[in-house]
Amino acid sequence: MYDGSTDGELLVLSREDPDAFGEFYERHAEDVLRYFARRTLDPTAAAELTAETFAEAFASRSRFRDRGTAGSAWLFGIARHQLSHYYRKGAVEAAARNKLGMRHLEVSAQDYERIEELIDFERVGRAIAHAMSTLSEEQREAMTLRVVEGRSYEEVARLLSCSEQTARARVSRGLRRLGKLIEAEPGLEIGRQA
Amino acid sequence: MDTKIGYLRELREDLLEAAWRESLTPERKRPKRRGVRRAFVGALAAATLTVAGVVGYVATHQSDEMKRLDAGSAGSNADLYARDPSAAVPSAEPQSAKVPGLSYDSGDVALREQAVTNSNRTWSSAGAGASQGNDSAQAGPAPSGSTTSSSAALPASIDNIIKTGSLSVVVPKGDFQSSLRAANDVAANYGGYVQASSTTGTRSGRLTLRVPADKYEAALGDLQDLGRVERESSNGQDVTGTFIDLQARLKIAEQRETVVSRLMDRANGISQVLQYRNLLEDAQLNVEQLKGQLRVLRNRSSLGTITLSLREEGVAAEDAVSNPSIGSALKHSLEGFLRVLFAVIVGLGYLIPIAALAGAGWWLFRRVRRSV
Repeated sequence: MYDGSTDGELLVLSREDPDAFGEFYERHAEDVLRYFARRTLDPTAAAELTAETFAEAFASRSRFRDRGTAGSAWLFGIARHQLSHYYRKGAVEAAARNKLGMRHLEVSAQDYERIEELIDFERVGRAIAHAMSTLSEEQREAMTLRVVEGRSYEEVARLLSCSEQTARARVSRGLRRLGKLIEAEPGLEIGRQA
Repeated sequence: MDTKIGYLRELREDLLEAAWRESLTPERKRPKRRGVRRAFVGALAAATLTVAGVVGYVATHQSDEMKRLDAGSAGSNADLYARDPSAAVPSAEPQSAKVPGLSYDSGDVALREQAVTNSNRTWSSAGAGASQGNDSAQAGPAPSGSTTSSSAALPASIDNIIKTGSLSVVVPKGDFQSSLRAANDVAANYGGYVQASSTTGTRSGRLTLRVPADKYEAALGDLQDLGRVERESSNGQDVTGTFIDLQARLKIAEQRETVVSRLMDRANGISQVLQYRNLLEDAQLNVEQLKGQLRVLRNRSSLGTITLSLREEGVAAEDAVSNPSIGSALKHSLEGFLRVLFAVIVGLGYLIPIAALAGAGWWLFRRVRRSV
């Protein structure tokens, strides 16, 4: 029914007709999910962020003005806002969903893997490996022990024959460098909000 | 929806369900609109009151102007009587004072009227400065009353104006005493007198002079020559109407007196005599009251009043410094508050009919449009 309409038209129609919003959702749901998946590297978080984004889009659809800017641009603006909230607080907001009375959805094991597939792991993996290779030996070791294996700083210090303070310093420096490299990596979207 | 991810499908269902729920219960939108509406109504009410206040302010000021103009031209009866405590308010005359069939001798009344005419001068003739001789006070005995008709008893043209003025003059240092004496002399020169005099120290004081109405301007001029005029104001109150009114009433009262005394002469029996005597006393009292009022009026208009404030250079004017008190400040603020309230209420009085008319016109207009 709405095949020919633009995103903007759909949003305007959706003020009165929920089905128009349904069409809008179908067009962009997976893109939004992919967007979140690649930036959070967390399938559950990505799913929730998608849900919250569309809930907020529905709640504020009347504020959309069809002035030529694509409806999808407006939608991703909301997505960016949700993402920054996630980065700051470490959790996904639930206000819009609560307001609409929507229930909390669980991510099944199958969905989890499927969402993971949206993340281009190959590319991410290559980027991380490359970044790790630029770290110094000490930093790489400290990071692996602490971040990958999850050991306490006391253990790390013992294993690396250094003080705890030194161990902490190495890990934090390594993470910082890693973060910078990943952000600078062309084509990689981890941590980027753009 | 074609997607492998079940989550997305479920999410779609939940979204649409919530959407349909919302479309069926639109009340959630109302609180927003109600808030907007309330703000709109509040703003409209505030604007209306402000406009009403402005309209009321303009309206009350205009009416004040009109009052001031009126007071200048016409005589104000209440004002006259209020000033002189000895003049009592005349009692209401019964309309049927004249008894038909009885002729009355209005000779005495006519005589008195003539005297009144002669003692009055018109305003214009006094302004020209020509002194028409001071034959004020009583004229000689007029011809017998029977030749004068009742219509001539009322002088043809009376210009009765009560002239009052105030003057504030500053004299050179050391000249206060001599200027004060000179002011006293002015009153005497023009056939007037000093009604009141007071001094504050040896360098400033006040005089109230009475001078004949036709000499008013001349006397004022002489007083102004005493020194530098700081302030001057004169006021002429036309009391011609009051004069005519009083005279007419006096005539009626005197006729009544005559009638009653005649009746008493023909009375039969003690009881009738007593009745008539009471009536006669009432009538006589009335006559006396009216005569008293006429006397006051004549005195005021035949003699103008000048209030002179005299002070030496360097002496502070009387009301130069008056420290405002908190009490007066509070009074002023209360006055201001009440004035604003007053203005708003007056303004609403103007606005409500206008709004009603506009609303009716608008409604009619819409009706006409719809039918077309």
